[in-house]
Parts: sequence; C-alpha cells; structure tokens
Amino acid sequence: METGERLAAYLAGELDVDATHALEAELARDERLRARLDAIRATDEALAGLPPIEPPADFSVRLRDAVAAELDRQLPADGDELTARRSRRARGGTAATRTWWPQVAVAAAVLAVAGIGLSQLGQGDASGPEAALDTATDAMPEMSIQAASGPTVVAAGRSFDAENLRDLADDTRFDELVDQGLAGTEAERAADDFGAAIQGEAPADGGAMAAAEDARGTEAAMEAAPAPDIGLRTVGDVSEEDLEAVRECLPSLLEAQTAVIPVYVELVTFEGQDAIVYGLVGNDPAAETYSRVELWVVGRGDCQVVHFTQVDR
Amino acid sequence: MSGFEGVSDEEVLAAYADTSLGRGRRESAFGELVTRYERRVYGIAFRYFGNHADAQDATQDTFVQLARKADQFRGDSKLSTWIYRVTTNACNDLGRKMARRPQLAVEDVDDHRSGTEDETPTEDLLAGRELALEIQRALLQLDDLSRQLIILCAIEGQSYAEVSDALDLPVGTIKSRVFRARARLAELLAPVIDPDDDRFPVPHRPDAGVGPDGTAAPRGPPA
Repeated sequence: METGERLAAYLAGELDVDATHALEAELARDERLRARLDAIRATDEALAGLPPIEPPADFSVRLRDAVAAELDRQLPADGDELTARRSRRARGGTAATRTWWPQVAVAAAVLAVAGIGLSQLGQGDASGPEAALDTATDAMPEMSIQAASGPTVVAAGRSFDAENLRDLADDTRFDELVDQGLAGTEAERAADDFGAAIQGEAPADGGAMAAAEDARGTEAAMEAAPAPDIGLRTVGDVSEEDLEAVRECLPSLLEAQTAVIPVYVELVTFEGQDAIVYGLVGNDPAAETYSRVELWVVGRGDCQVVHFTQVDR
Repeated sequence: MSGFEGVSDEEVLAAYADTSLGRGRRESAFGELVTRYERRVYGIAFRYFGNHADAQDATQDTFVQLARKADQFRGDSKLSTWIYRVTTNACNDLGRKMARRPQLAVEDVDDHRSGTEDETPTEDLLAGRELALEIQRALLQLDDLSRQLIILCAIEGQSYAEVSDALDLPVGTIKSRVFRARARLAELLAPVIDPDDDRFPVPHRPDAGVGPDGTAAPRGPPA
C-alpha cells in the first residue's frame, strides 16, 4: 500500500491496529508526512462541504419532456397495448397512411401475379387506401425489390479501427435505402421491419398479407401478395450465438427520437476487441432525407459503445 | 400531490413497472422518481463532466434508461444504488461517445445563473465558489473510475458497500481505489487548499496533526 493510500485509509479508520500504530509512529517523527495527512483531511472536508449543484432553470422542464417522450414509447395506452405500440410509430400520421414495405410488397404482388399494369393502379378516392397504392407505383421504379430484402449480418473475420471504419459506409447495401425519398412514416416502418427481421420477429401488422388486405380489401389481392420477404440475410458462418449477441445490443441503438433503419451488421474485431458494427440509415436533419449512414461499434457482450461515426451521403 | 408521499422508492418503481396499472398511474410513478432523483443524478453527472450541457444529456440518458430497464431491477439492493449504477453507466457511455469532441471548459456551478440573486456575494461565498471550481478542475484530472469513486463516496456520501454494488466491483477494490483517489486529489489540490490557510471555508481542526498517542478520531467517507 503506497503512502497516500495508507494515509487515506488511516483517516477512514480502515487500517488494522498494527498498521495504525506503525503509521502513527511515523507521523510522530515525520513532519512532511503529517502535512500530507492534513492535506488529505482538508481535501475530504472540502469535498464534504461542497454545495449541491444547481441545474439550469429550464433543466427540469426539458428533462420531463424527454421522459414524457420515452414513456410514450414504453407505456401502452390504457387497455390496448398493441394499439399503443403502433401509435407511437404512427404519431402524426393518419390511418390511411401506408408504409413503404407493404406498398412495395403489394404493388409487386399485384404486378407479378395479377398482371395489373401500373397505370391501372392508383385509381379512385385519393384519400382512401388506393392512394397508398398510387404512392407505391411512384416508389416502384425507385426502390428495387432488393430494397425489401432486409438487413444483412456478416460473420466475424475482419478487423477495423477508427480510421478504416468509414469505408463500411460505402457498402452498397446502404444504397437500397439511402436517399430514396423515404418519408418519416415510411422510414419508421422500415426501421420497425428491419429491426424485427434481425430480432427474428414477424413484421408488424403481419407484413404483406395484412397490408394487402388493408390496401385492396379483396381476396384476390390477399392471395396475390407474396409471403413477406423482409428476411435476415447472413454472410459467412454466422452462428446462433452471434445472432444473440447482435440482437442483444440492437434495441438501445434503435431507440431514438427519429427512426433509424438497421441495414448492416458485421461481427468484427475493432482495435483488438470483439465488437459488433451496426450500420444504420438515419435522417440527415440538414437535408431532411434519409441519407445519413451511422456506424456504431459496440463491445460484443457488454453492448457498450466503443466508437461512433456518421457519413452523410 | 403525486399520491406517492411516504411510499418507498422501490415501491414507486414497482408501480411504474406494474403492467396491470393504468398508464396514468404508471406515468405518475415515474414522474415521482424523476422528482426524487433528478438533482442527485444531475449533480453526479455535472461532477463527472464539469459542464452543464453534458450533465443534462447524461441525466436525460439516465432516466430514459431507467424507464426502459425498470423491470430489470431485482430489489437485492436499494433503488438508489441501482440509479447510481445507471447514472455512472450513462456518464461512461456519453463520455465515450464524446471522446473525440473537444473538451468544454470547466464551468462554474453557477455559470447559468442570471445574477439576480445574491447581488453582492460575500468574500466567503466567492472563496467557496473558487474552491468549488478548483475541486472540479482537479476532479477532471482524475481517471474516470477515480472520479466516480470520489463523487459517489466523498461527495454523495455513499457507503463502500453501496458503491461496490453500483460499480460492480469488490468492496476491497473500491476501498483501495478510493484511498488512492483521495490521496491523488489532495496532491492536485495542495496548491489551493492549505490546511493552515483560512482563505477557504474549510473547517480546520486544531487537532489535525495526529499525535503519537493516536487519539485523534479518524475521519473520512462513511465506511
């Protein structure tokens, strides 16, 4: 035990009898040691006498606003947990607003199986369900079916550091979503569905089947809609244990004020540590488009953020 | 009135986590926890970062995490200990995220005040504020763990056992690190805290020098 540690332990009454007597003998003959003891004692007293910190005047209001937003996410509306879960994503939208995946899925299904031309879609009441299909036809040329393929998890094998991590932001998988003109609600839905795919859960609302029912209201459309194709793609030897590690850390990264879409995950070694890189597509507030690629590196197992970088594309 | 007067912290958290209760009641319960802990959490975060902007972010992160993880509280320690744990983790996480950002200057704890109160601060008050600033500067020179230990043990008055729970480290390690941190802090503050100098309002005890008979009562953080 070094001298300073011994003196502090003595002041705290944590030395045993023999050590106490030995130190007191030293103190009796060593003026500098006594001065050091006094300094530690004075510091302890100064610390104990510090006044409480006064937060800024608006702190409490701002904190409560942030807490209210979080509770809005966490707590279901009375009596309807499912509705609450949906409403937190749809807040600000309307019941008629459809989201990007069902639009693509339904449109693709109709085109592929029922043989209906693009020009035949989007007819009727613009405020009704068909309006969504209208939007879907607009989206079709821009968003390939590949865009609906879902997130990718890449097995361990590569090493990164703070310098070369940004190269990952150029991965073509991000191209499927970056700057595709996603609206806020569409992006939120994509965030939900990609997140669900990684977590091994069914897409919200039952995926394309339910979307087809909502949008068309016909049995034919329901039969035509394919099984939801947002699946988790893996590259290399990704074990169930790897996926568990990926799933464990994902939720905290997705819980943000605005939706972020988990597109790409890679198990890596980051500066010598086992880690997981999450590539998220998020909103660039300056451009007001989903054109920001966020790369989060978290420790495998403890989910602690090790590194973060973002690239606006 | 929140309706939680006289209710223990643990019971308030249990009310928030109780899915059989209505949303309004659960929101009220969490609001009560915010009221009880916001200043303590803020104080810890401010001591950790030395500036109000990061302290506010860390405090917000702490309560968001508490809202999300309430069902993980096992009740085998006091709720306050668990909240300290969440707070220190939030500070660590935020600190890591901000690692590449230029450091903000250390702010006076009163920097944000309008100045309408205490128009003519007394000499003692000024000396106290100067001392608080020096202590904050010294705290920021400690490593993260040492700083947290000083904040929790020496400033917040948590017991070694509570800090051991909060930081998930053995009590022996906590004690050893606290003793070293206190000694290091005393070295850093030596130029500004002179036990024989009355400029600062540090209570100076006439018996500060311990005699050979060892009669001076040990003093330090609570054991």
